[in-house]
Amino acid sequence: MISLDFDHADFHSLLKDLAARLGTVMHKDVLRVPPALGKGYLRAIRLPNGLSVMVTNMSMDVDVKLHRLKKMPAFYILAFDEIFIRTRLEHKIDNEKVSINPPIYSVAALHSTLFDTTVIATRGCIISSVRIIFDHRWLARYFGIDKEDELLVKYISLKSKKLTLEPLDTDYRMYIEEIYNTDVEDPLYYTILENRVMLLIERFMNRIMDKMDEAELKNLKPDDVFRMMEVEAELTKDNVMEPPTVQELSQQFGISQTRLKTMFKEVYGYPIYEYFQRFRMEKARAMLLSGEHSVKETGYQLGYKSLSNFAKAFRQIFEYAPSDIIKALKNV
Amino acid sequence: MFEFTFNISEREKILDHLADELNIKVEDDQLQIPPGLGKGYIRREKLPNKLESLIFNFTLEDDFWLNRKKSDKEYYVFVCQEIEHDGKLITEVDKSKVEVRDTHVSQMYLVSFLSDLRQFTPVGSVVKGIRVIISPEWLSGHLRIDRMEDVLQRYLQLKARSVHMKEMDMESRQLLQEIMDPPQDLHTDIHIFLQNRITMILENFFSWLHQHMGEERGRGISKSDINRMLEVENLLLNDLALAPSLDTLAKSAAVSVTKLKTQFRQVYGLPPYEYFQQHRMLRAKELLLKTDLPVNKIGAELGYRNMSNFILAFRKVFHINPGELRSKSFQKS
Repeated sequence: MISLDFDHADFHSLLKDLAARLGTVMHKDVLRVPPALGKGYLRAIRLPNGLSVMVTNMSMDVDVKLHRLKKMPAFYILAFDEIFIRTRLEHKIDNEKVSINPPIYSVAALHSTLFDTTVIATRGCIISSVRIIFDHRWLARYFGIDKEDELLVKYISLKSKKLTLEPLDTDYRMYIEEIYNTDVEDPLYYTILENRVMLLIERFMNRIMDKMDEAELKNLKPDDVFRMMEVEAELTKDNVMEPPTVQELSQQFGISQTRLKTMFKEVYGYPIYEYFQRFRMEKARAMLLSGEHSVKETGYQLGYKSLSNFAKAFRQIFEYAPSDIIKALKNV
Repeated sequence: MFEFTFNISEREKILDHLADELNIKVEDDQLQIPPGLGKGYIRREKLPNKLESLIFNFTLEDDFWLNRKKSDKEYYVFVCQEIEHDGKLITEVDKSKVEVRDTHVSQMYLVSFLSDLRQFTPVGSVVKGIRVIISPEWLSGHLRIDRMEDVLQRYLQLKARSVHMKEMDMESRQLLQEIMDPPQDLHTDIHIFLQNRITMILENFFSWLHQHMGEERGRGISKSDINRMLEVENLLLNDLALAPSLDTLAKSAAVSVTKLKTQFRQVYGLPPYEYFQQHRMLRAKELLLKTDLPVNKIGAELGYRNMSNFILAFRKVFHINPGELRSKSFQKS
């Protein structure tokens, strides 16, 4: 097992130490995982607005244990993680432990250095993650949230619930994918990254404050949330076929239909079918915006036999027609 | 007519100056347009990332001339706005001028502080949008200046020509809508919401700029080359009924015909004659839609003695006959 204890307040120095631990060096901002240990990279980025960001895309052939030490004054790490788990993933905050079972952990969470935090990922995990570090001064300046702000303290101290889970949905994933898909050589690289990171933070803050207000997720245990993540993964496995019905999902996951419907909506904010439609239409929009597919192709590829049904479904989500995108692209 | 003249050197105080001229006060960073001049507001936004922005939404009850004197600072102003009007909009950057008659305009553009800027907006116009002042520091932090500087310079040299005002894309339009009318149930600070949308619009604009004026166009072309092509372009479009010959153009710019052809294309993206044709046909379209002149008169005005040549030329650009276009637009209204 590779293990590292650290308390860095920026990702460049963290990666430097991790590189040394892995017996390699960083090239510019990038740490490549040595072939003996796995595949992929970790990249540290300093944004123009001062934020330190780390973008990770890797798979590990060894067990890894990362241990962030308690540190004062506290700073925060906002993590958007999508991890495919082969055998086990473990989170420990101070002495409280959560084990997360395969197949997937797909969560946005705010951590703080008020506590010791340990992550253990067993070999075979595939990790995509965007992580952002900031301190309370930054939070105060950008979001008008003070250190003593009740909400945030409340959120952070929810460690009794082990993790406060905000599952990644298609909106989060869209921003995250744009971060992965932007070429480092693009002259606008930093602008694009900064904008996506800011939108991720904005959305996260809005969502957790929503939850605090309504004490939402009150009746959900972490295990329930993890189960809903599996349901979501199943639901969005394929955007061409008709989605599995609530009945099928309920059988597959061994949850009653009523409970499944309530829990899914509490975790993802939409009823199951509407969530699937949003996911499918986001794909449609991305295809159209690429300029490589006609409305007809897009509709067929997403499993629509009738184009007018496709157009109607599209309009329901975005309030404009698929053909509007084609027209707009022509004007550019 | 209301005319407002200001100096860029006092940019922090533009809103206060305007208020002084109107004998009113800026309250909570907002100026209410007084009756007589119009209805609506201009608001100053202090964003956490220090981009200075104005957000405005008003209807004019008088003609409005805005005169901005140039300064020696290398700042830029970015404008993104939607205007509905039924007169004509005039934008002048230094000596170059463009008039827009389209009744619905949605545009994004960038002007350097190093240029004089004059803008006319007619009575009855409904104007909403944002203006953002961009510092060299912001640019160098957010763009790879080694690769964008040329692009930026080329763009600014092209001045006011309408082709270089970018039509707003759908995403930016949506973002602007959100800026003008933010959701009520926001939990986070409104400034962060506005800032994120403003910087997304800037991203869209600069991506476009890079794609359209980027590397393959005008590599290795100097500032004076661009200036020369600017004059060539003026001469070329001087009379849409008669295109000057390449010889005449080359002589006017004191370059060889070959060089003229290459450089013109580098700057404007089309060979001179095609560029001329496109503007000629745009004029034809405008006359078809905005006047009652018969099709053959319009052809004649644009130098066509033979009507079928005119129709062919028109079809080539718009894939429709002039007569069809007119009857279509007639049906619409």
